[in-house]
Amino acid sequence: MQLSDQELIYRCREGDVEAFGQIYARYERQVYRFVYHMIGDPDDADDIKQDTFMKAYRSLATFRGECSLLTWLLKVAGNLCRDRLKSRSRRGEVALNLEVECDLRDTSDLGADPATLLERKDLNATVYRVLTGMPEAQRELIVLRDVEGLSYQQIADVLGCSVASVKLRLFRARRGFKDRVESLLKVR
Amino acid sequence: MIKLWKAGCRPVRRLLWEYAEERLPEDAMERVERHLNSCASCRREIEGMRQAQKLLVAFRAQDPPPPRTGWATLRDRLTAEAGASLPAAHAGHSSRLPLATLEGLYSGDSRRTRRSTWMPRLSLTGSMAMVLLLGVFGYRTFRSAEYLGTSPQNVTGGIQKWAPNMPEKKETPGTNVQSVARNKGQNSASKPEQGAGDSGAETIAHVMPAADRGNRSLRSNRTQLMAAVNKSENEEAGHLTRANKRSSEALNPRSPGIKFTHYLPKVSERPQPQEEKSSSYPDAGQYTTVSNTQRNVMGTLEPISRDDDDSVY
Repeated sequence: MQLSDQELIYRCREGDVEAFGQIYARYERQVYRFVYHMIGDPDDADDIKQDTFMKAYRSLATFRGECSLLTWLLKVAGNLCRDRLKSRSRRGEVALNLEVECDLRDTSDLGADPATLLERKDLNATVYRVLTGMPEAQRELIVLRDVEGLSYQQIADVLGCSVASVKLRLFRARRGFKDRVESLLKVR
Repeated sequence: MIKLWKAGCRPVRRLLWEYAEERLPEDAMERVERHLNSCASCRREIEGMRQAQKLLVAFRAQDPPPPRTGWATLRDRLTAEAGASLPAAHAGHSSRLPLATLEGLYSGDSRRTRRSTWMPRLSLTGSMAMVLLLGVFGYRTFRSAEYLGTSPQNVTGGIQKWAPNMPEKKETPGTNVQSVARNKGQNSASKPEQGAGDSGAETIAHVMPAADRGNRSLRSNRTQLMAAVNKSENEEAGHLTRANKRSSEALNPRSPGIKFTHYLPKVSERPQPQEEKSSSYPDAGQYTTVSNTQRNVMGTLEPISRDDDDSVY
């Protein structure tokens, strides 16, 4: 039986840990994808994903249900991503390259055509390079809207701003992304 | 012309990304299309956007590598943090955390958990601030006590402690305490006995001769010091007498010591300084006697004669 988010939250508050397991199973993939595209390193993304759910489990009592559970989880994950990126920049660390990680971990690549694989790696590297060159806020908007496919209202819930503000910021972020892609392709 | 062109492009450019994705409503799509037919700049803009979109679409289509950890790991972490071992995952209601633990994790007690981390920090900071305040207060009290000269009592108290049979000598107020303390410090032989004196009557009896020697030298030092202090006070009183006289003369224009020479009688007509002193400054006698010679030697109190004035100007 598929329970709604509200029912699962209620059960979690009653002390049912397995209900939280269902929430985890429902949203783990989306949270992980978002964090991965923000951070660019699968190990870090995995850590942040687990931290996100830990934090959510601790804070379920404060969840008022004003937004969806997914946007709430993405908000928590976004905050953790920002913290991680800040600590990274303080320590001067650079994330592992996405193309290498895809090569080592994605078993679906084993039977792929080498040309396609190379093209895919090149594509990943290009997009990742462009994304990491952008300000964090703009990167978050691009990932939420154009990679994860969230609606304007969901993004507004995640970022805690109005839909109009999301549209304006997204316009600027997309223009920045396009300019960077163009300049990157010109260099090549 | 340029301004009009920009004003026409601006609202359309905000729609170009959505237009390229074909997400706009039909009327907006037509409006953008009409503008693109007449604007080369916006056509270039939309070409760049389509390139960027292609990259993003391809990027979105790829799944990231699978995560290393899953629910089991998280469940273990939750259990460890709750401080209670959970039973097997598939044991029905046994998957409930103990109520006390859950109360700590959920309703309002998350705040209590947080407080448990910051409370020790706060108390540590508070206690450090208290120690600092006490230190500053103690230092200021010590300094003010030193300034007010309360330490002679302490010195006497110390003597009584070391040598209870010795009669207490009455202290003259105003003794320079720091010098006494320095003299006390010179009697280094008496220092180690201070701690031993507290331990018992036998120890006190053993220590007495050394303490006695120390106290005697201390008293002699103090006598010397008292003499020096009295001497310096007398000197100060002498200066004070002269200074008072000078200021009083300055305030009284008819005074013989004033420098406004046109009011002054000649030197030969002036009254004798001894008479002035005795009449104007009766208190000065308790300090010391300032002779005429001393006053003349000082020079500054000597009235300037008309002859001198003429020679100067």
